[in-house]
Amino acid sequence: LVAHAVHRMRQAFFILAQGTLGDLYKVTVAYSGAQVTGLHVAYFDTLPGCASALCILRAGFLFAACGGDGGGAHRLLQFADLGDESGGAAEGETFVPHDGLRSLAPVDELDCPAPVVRARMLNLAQELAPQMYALGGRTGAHPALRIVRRAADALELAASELPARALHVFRAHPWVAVSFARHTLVLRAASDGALQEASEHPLATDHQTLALCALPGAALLQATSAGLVLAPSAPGARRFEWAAAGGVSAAALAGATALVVDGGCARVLDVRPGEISERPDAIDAAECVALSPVDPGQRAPRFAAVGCSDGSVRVYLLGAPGSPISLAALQALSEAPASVAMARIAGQMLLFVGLPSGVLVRARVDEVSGELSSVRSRFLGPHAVLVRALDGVLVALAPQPWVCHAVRGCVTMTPLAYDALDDVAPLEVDGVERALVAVAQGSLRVLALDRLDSPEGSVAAIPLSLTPRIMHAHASGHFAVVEAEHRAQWAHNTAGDGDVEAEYAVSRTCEEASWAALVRVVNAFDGSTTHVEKLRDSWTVVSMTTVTFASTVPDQNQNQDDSDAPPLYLALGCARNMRLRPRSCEAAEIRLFRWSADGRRLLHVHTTPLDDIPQALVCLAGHLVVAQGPALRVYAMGRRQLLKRAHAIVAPHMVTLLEPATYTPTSTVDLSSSSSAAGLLPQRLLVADVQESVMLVEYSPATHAFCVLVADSVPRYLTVLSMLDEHTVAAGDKFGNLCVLRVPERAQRYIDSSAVSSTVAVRPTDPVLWDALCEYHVGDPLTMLQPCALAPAARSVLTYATLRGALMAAIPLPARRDIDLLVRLELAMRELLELPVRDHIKYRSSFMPVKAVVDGDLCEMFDCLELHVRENVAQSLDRSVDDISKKLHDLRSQYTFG
Amino acid sequence: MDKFGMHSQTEQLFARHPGTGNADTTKHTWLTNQHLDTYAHIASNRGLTAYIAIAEGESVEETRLKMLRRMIEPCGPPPSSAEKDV
Repeated sequence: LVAHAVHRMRQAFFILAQGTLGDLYKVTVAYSGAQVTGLHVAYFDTLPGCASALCILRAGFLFAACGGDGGGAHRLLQFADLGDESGGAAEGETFVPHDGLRSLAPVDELDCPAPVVRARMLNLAQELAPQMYALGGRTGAHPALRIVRRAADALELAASELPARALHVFRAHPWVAVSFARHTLVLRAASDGALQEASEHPLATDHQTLALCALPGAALLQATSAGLVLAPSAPGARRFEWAAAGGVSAAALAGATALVVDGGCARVLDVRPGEISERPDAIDAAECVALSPVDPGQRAPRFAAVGCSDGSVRVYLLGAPGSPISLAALQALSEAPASVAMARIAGQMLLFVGLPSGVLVRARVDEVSGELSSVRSRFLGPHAVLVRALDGVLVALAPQPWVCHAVRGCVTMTPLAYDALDDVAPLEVDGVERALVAVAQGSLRVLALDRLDSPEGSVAAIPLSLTPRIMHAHASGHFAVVEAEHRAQWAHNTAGDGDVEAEYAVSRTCEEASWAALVRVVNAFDGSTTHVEKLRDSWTVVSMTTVTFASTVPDQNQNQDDSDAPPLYLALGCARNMRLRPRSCEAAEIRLFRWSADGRRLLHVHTTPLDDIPQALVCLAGHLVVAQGPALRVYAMGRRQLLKRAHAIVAPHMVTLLEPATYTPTSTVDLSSSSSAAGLLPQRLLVADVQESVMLVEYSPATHAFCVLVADSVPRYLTVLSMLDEHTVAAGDKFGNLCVLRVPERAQRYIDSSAVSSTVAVRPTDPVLWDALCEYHVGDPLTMLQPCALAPAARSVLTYATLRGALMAAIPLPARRDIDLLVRLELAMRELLELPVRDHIKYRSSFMPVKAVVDGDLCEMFDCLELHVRENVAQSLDRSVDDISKKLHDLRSQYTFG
Repeated sequence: MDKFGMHSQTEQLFARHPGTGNADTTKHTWLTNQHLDTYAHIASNRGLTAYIAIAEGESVEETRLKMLRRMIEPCGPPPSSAEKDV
């Protein structure tokens, strides 16, 4: 039994328990008085995936937390009926599990990427930020290759073509005005979001519309490139117009106030029924304008923001209608702004400025005086930023639309996983919390944004059949994924052919050494499976790598591809009836496949038998290095099987990981010699033992010899390795520790000299030891470790993912000032936050004392403290509260997605 | 060295935590403590239990129970006190 829940009703109670195969049982206890007379267990229903917790809600719902470690999704189900009341099967009989859910009806599902067995950050879709490709899930609980983007999903509800390329779109319910260069198209919005061209409407269509606003009393105020138009509510009443002398270039409308830019001069106009009057002051050199949103009780906006061509943005206080305006604040920018907007988000009035260089500047406007504070900027992309304030959110349009909104009281920016948009306006659609109408390159789209708050971002899942273990990417966007399940065997397909689902079904057994495995090639862009290679007879794939051999042997399959590029091979290390404790197998081999140039198919080339389980494979200088137990073997390509070239025992116990290490020889090498001599340069490899951490091993093809250059003094059970530079390695281990190791400086020259590998024996008696630069306890086993840049024009950070589905980034801090500030901030936070169960420093030093790593999540909780506590901390650090907040925000937004 | 009272402090600490042992600790006790600590750590850290469960092909709860069951006499029964072990 895996999980249970007790439900108490008025007269009786029952227990719902789940077994390991997902079957739910209803257990009722028969009792008389205080004596228990019997226990009755009946089969209830089957859930896919084992729940880690079950909870029965009084309203008749069952919540099954199947996601997380059991794989699958968290599910909310409704009780359709309470199972067979008559008792179902008698004692001793076996039951037939239901195919789908019968007594329960699914209500909602929350997909969970955990357990993330392997992941990689790649930018296959050529977007601004890399996507995370994560293998997750367990057999029977929706295993999938999930492509995770740090973006919110925008659901496209409708799209239609427009006659020309539209510049702007505005809305004043129920009218939607789409403005083109010289005219405006007016549409009428129905309550379900459908837009229809309207012929009878009060708006002016012979000029480009620059702003649209609804006034109380169903009147409409429209700013066009000719001037202002006040369209009254009563049909047939005359339109009142105010013409501008030189034509209007930008305008903002809110309440009964209009701010128009005519001939470079911004003027404030007050609108009353039947009259438009100008205020005396005008602002020169204005490029773009915005008005603050009107508060519910007021009639006119308080502030006006004007972006000036001298590279500044000014905030003005608007007084009563007719009174002069006064300058409240001025902020200098690096260049003349492209657009300005003001919005109220998370209870704060914020001013947003979009610059032509792609930077979005955000400042907080004081509600009383209009002063600007907490200026933050963020680079969005190589495109001019257009900002548009909608109710409660702000949309910034750069190559990718970003939405600034409030999440749990904090202002957050989220990118949208959607194409570039030219302009947006809010729309009311039934059943959708927040909808937009947008124009993009000559088409009109209606989008629904109701999943802005979801923290996991936009996830596209490609379903697989068994627990995925290993994956490799092909340049064409295909992935080869190894799926395998222990204690399982391929089910006999007695249900007739043609059933694709049953073809890859497995049945669970309890035998220890039976496996079911397959290799699948999927297309990451459309999710289709292009090739499946099923392994029978309890064979499983233990390791996999892509290999390009130095010497190619022409084989008959080569004629099928026309490419001149050296063929890419996929080597699978397979074992038959593999037993984990003690580690042994009946037979082992390497199956070599050729990956076709378009990435869609695998063609079997040959199979090479081995002595021991090939725990790891890597391609090194045109050879395949196989780790078998504690030994490494090097193979070259042969016609009928792989040819063994070298063999050496390098590790004390068992080699589990192999990674190529970059290396540039310091001694002069005559590169003008033939290519075969260049292929004889010594190559470096990172070899990780199962418990003795990582070592740097050099292989020289000339002498077919290995030698261990650098070893570690501390036992580490590594799961992931990554080479950061020539002498530095980052490693993550099974117990949840992250470390960065470096060759000590005095030894770097020694190991770089090319004479080393010829003089040192395989395992030197006095090896160079790694220097541990950083040590940190993350908490869960690490399954991905990769340096990459997470945002456009950002520096690389070390991204790592844990088994339970967390994606984190370790940001290197080069500046001494930053390190001092953050270390002292972390100390202050540790003392302030009394975490009930654990001591923070003890937790982060669970295995090795924490060294040179600051806990960023703890520091960011600074913003959640109360103001007086923050001021105390800031005072002890000799900075202001704003400085610290800005530093934390900058770290997040400059390096990672924030 | 004991002038600062370090010895008494460390003795108290060692007495409180049975895994640390003393001069009279037998090989069997020491090894049993190592096994117990390892199984308890695996059973308490859900991520680590999931890691092992995926390798074994079992559910997380089953693996956790297996770890807890192995904590009963992980190295076999203690040798009789008459035997002297090295």
